[in-house]
Amino acid sequence: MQEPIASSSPDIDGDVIEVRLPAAATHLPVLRTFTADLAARLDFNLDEVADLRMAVDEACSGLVARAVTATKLICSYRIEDDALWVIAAAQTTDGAVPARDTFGWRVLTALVDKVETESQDSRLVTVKLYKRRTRTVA
Amino acid sequence: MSEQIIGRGVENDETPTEAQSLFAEFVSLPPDSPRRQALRDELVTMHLPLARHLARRFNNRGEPLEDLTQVATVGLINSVDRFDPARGVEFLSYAVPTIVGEIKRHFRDHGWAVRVPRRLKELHLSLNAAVAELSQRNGRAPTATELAAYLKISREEVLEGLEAANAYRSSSLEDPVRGDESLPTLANTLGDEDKELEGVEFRESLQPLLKQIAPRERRIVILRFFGNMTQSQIAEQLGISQMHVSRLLAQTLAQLREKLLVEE
Repeated sequence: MQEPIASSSPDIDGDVIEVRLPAAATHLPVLRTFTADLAARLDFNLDEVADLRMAVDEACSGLVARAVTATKLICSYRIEDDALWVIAAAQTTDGAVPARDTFGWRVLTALVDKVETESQDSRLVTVKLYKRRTRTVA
Repeated sequence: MSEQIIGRGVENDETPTEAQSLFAEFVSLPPDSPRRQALRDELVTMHLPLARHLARRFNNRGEPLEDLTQVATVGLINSVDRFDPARGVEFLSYAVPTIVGEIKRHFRDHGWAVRVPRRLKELHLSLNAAVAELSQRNGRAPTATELAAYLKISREEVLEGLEAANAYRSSSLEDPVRGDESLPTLANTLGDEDKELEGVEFRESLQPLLKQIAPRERRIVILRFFGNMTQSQIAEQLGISQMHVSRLLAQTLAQLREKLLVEE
């Protein structure tokens, strides 16, 4: 017996929620709280909720540290049947994606199931985090 | 404040317990009497198991047991000082609520980073207990829906409580390691941790940074990111709550990140 991802609102599969905020470290707590609350609402278990919160914090801390001043950090949450994509993007000064040989990368890959990065010519850097939800038996 | 209630008398005529006799003598002596001091010590020592027992009831809620025991002991000492046998109530029925009150006040005063309504704090306590119970039962952390069903409250209340949990601060990174120093496996585990770290090459010099972190926090970081354990599994191994692991891990990461950024 499988339940839809959020029993209270079964039709949210495919929905996208977008959060825009100034690309500055001072605003990250809002994003952390939002991420954790959304994940808990989607019935991720508390370990997964905490993982997502930290992963978003890690990814976005890196982004805002390199962001062009007075630009926005855009964080999109794409809700899938049994998973969540968090796609964070910022206009950076150097267009550098997170390096693979860092502790931060180790943290990201340990916390979520998939991490993808992208850098455009415009130096817009995107970090995509994919986290699956453990199925619970209803 | 010492209002005197005189002449109430004890109604029952059972033979007095040892504690009762001690208290009768204790209150009859002037405050500066050395005998009074000795009796006070004896009464406190006699009831220490009670303080420890009550402290344990609040264990695994994010505060170290050692601190709780200390707070409970303060509550016990206050109870001994303020107890008035002439009121005709048992010492225990006076001391238990006093000690529990002291412990709860400790949680209120020291546990929370921001002011959170009492109702939410109590919700947080029951959530914490429910998380522990359900994690034990299912072998993984529970979801909001499971917590709501277990506590017979709405999902919305659970979510509200979880949010409040983030305002809860139980220990800072600057704190010395407490509570788990006596774990017999700590030294062994630290050896294993070093093995885990072998062969991991980072651009940053992570090892010296990790060495600056308190042993417990370092252990949590390594178990989570190099040992691939979940927070619940780490919580079980360390004998603390999942929420506590979560907080310690997030704080440690932030601290590491800050240092790595400085290095960069």
